[in-house]
Amino acid sequence: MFDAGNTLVWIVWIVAAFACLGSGIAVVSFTNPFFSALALIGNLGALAVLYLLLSAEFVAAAQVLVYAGAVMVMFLFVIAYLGGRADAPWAGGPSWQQVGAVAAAGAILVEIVVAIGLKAGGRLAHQQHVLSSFGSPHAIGRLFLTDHLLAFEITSIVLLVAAIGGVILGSHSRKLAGEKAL
Amino acid sequence: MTEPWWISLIKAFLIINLVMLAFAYTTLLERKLLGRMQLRYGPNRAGPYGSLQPIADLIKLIRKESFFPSSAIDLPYIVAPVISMFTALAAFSVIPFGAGWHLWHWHVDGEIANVSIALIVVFALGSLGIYGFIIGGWASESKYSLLGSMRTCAQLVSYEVSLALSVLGVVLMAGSLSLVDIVHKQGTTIPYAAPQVIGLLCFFVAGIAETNRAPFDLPEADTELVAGYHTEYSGMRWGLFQTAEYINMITLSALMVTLFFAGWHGPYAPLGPLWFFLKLLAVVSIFIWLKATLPRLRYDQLMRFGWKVLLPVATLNAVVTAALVVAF
Amino acid sequence: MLHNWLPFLIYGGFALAIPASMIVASFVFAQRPAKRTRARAIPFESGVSRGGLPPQRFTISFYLTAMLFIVFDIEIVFLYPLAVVLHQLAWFGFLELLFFVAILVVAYVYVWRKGAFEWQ
Repeated sequence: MFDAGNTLVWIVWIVAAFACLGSGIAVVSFTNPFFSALALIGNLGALAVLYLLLSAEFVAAAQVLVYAGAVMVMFLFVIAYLGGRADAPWAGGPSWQQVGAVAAAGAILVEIVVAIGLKAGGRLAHQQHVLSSFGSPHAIGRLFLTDHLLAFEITSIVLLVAAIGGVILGSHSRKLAGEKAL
Repeated sequence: MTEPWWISLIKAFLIINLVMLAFAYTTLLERKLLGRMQLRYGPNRAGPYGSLQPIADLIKLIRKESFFPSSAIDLPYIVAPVISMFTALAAFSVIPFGAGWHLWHWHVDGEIANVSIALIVVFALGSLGIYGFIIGGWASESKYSLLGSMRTCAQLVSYEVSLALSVLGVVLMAGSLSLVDIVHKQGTTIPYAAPQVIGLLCFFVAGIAETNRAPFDLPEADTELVAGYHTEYSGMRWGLFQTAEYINMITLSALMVTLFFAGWHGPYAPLGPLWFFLKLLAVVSIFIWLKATLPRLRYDQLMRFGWKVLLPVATLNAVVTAALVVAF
Repeated sequence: MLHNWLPFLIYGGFALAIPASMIVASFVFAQRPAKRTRARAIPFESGVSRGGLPPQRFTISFYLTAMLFIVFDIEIVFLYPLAVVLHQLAWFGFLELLFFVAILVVAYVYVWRKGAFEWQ
């Protein structure tokens, strides 16, 4: 039976999946780091759409807000304003490092495919029905307060460490600048 | 019951045009109000009482030469204003403006999209809008644009934190991130402006900074610093940045009406969208009034105020609200 | 749940079409200068012409701000789901929230004392 809603989901999925792959390749193949960062934003956005298709609404929004919205702003700050163009990644033929990296990436891909094939077996084609509350902020809030209480609280400690680390790195270079000025 | 896709299509078309219309006449309202506050008439040549001024502005901007500096990097330079305006326009899609209606045997919702994370969607789109400024400033390859975009970004990210924290009190009281739920909850109790006065004030101040309005309009600062991230833009491309700014202001005002003033609910008569519109008009007028009244802040004052005053106050408000919500 | 997002998709299409059409209009209808001179096209520099854009360094405060923004943004993302269920969880939930915020207040006080909020 033809189902318009389902077709649309398929179309969105295909577009998002290919956008994800394409932007991922673009991240590593652009010579200008600024463009690479922009492609990474596109990649994160496409991932958010995939999360949405998996009914993980809150995770999708958090992905856009934190990764695409905050972390990438920091990246672009550093790239755009510190200047400096990186060398072309493909210049001068492949080094042994690049060969090794490609081989490792290929090995991980094979491993993932095998793992999924062994684990999921014939269940890949089945549609999983989830509760309508799945992935909503309510469900996630309840998980924070029950099953993942410790992880939730430790997050704040991680944030504390991040803030302290940032300030220490910053004040170090500030001190250097002060010494230079003297 | 959900509405069929073609109703969504028609509604989306109508609403986006209404938003554009609202934007066009906000510019006129601003110029008229500013004029009156400075004891002059404001635009009054194009059409009766200057009512065709926005259309004249549009034609002028489109006809104007689209200057393109030799140093600019083509594609990002062109795309940046589109990003800004897209995120500004898209954010309006989750704002509820009516109760929903029954037409024949179809149901029409009083908002474009009712999603359970509407509030975060607005903030997420807002934070994506920053890229318009970064990319625009960077792609111009001009010192002034680069500095201006840096200034803008640092300001926007600083105040985004306070903006998001200031509505935490509302979220706590409503127990939902869906704007439709929040409005319904206020309809059955009271508008959250009363119990959340401090939250409202924080939201308003952070909102002014978020939308680059006076007295926090340092991203423009046309009289003392050279424009900013849009130094190298002209014609319609510059117009898109300006449009994005005004639409951001309208969306933020609409969000304020939704979160604190019970959205389309109103006393005396169930007017629905008309109440929403009147409240929106009032909030936008206050934005304009501030522009006429307050002088611009200095940049270090602005940053210090955001981090040292607004952020702790918003956090304290959230914690106190949490205690009260749990206690009662 | 996905059908909730269909109107958003439609509306987003319009929201993209409007600025895109305006950009196209800026190419089609805009007047062009009669003569292209090199001096016209150089970027604005208060009347001082220049060579290439020199590599620049900006004050560290900008980067610190961006970094602190990430920290507090993550805090907000974690607090929102907690806020929507807090009225069901009563004092246990409140204590958890208080603990979470208290640790961040420590970070905030540290950052303040180190002067990262100061702008020269």
